[in-house]
Amino acid sequence: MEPDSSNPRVKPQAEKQSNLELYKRIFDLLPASVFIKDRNNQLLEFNEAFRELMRISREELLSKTTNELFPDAEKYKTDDLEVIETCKPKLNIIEEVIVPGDVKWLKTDKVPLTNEKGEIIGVLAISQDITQQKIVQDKLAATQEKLRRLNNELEGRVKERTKELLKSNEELKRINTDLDNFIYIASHDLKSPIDNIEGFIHLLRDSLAGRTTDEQEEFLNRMTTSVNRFRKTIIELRKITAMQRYLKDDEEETDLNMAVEDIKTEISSLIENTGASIITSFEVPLIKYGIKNIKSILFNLITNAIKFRSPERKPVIKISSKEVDEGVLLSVKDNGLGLTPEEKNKLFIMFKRLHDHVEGTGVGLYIVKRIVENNGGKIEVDSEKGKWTTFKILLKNK
Amino acid sequence: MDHIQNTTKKQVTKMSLFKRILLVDDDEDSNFLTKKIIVRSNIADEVATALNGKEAFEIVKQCTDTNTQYQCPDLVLLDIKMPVMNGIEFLQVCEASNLRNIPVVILTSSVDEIDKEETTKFSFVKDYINKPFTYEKIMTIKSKLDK
Repeated sequence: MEPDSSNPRVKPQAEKQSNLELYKRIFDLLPASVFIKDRNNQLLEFNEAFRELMRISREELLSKTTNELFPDAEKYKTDDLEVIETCKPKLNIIEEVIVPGDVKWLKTDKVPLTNEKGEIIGVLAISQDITQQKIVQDKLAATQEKLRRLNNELEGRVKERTKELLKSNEELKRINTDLDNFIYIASHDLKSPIDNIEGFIHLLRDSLAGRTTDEQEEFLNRMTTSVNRFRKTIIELRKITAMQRYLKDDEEETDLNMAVEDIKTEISSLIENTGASIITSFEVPLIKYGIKNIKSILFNLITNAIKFRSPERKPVIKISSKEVDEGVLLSVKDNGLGLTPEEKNKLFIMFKRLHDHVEGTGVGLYIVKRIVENNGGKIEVDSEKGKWTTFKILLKNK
Repeated sequence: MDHIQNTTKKQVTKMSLFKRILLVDDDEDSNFLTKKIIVRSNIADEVATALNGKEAFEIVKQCTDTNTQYQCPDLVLLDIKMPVMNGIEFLQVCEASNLRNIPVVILTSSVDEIDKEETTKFSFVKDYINKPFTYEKIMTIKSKLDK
């Protein structure tokens, strides 16, 4: 039968039906679980997404009470009652929901459901499954927690290591002080007996004057030589202890040109006898460093450069200074004997002498290193055997 | 007293530089040696020794007492580092007791390490000798003292 267009009741009825189906379809297509419960917490209606979530048939869902469907139904009822009583929506309820055969994390918005008269008859709920999101979030939180724990652990370890390092540092300082004290005491206590031995040798010589055999004379000479060598060593040791006293005199401004000139005067005969030339080029001529320390550094390096000159050429010593990030770099370059890598390694050890043909006790470079390092700087050596040696000294900015 | 017994007197053959030297040092070998040099080189007629400042002060105090038979030294050779009473303390007690008429020469193994300011403030400290003690060193001092 053709629809009767003259009957005004027919068309709206069909339209209504078709709209209802459309809404139902939309309702089922929504990518969220939508369901309606009455005031007694009984499920009235739901969409396909809700049914899928519950994994049972529509009939089964409708035949069961909420308490049968959800173990935590009472908890949800509390939320529902709140919405009903306040007539206000309750949004963003995030909770773990036990559904048949699974546990899901849902984000639910609950709004009051009214009838045509505006009376509240229940609750309309829309739930989004955020289980995956929650898993990722939990993993992230777990990772963050792990990181935080690792970080704490690391911090703890760093603290512990720093404490250990500080302790070692203190220990090293104490050992260093003990060593300095030992050198001081040893050099002082050794000086008096050696003075006495020297005096007694003099007396013995006087007593035996003219009555010694050649052999006895040689014994006396050898005793004198040994005493002199002993004395020289003590003098060098005392230089180290003397150095300790002015290691930190860093308040004054020192003129490098003046320091070099003073040293040149002091060792003028050595310079003259060897034909040595000292060339200076100071980009930074004034430095904040103790004058005694600078002179001690330069004196040792210059005299070393002359002592260890090449027999093939006259010594030329180039001394320069320039500004670098950490302070002032002082360089002393010579054209002397040079060093092998092995010799370089042994250079700064106390009493280590590399060349026996040259006078010395092996204390000079040890003193230089101690001064530089005690003032926060460092010393490096670069060399080519048989050609040249350069000492680079970083004088730390104060 | 021990230190008086410790006095060495020599047969005077010719004019000595000093009449009586008081040697104050705790190093007995050093004292023995210095004393030998003094006697052999005719530096002094007599050498008294004290092993520390306290002993030395007793000698100096006793000889300055008018009733005493002991002669005062005309030179004190004084070490600085000594037990009981060190050289500086000896100088301080002499100063405090107005015993400033005997010239003192500091005799030590390390003149360069003495705090000179600490010793030059005493008017009776005349000079310094670095050990070992020698005839030449004391001669130089003597000529300075005589000037």
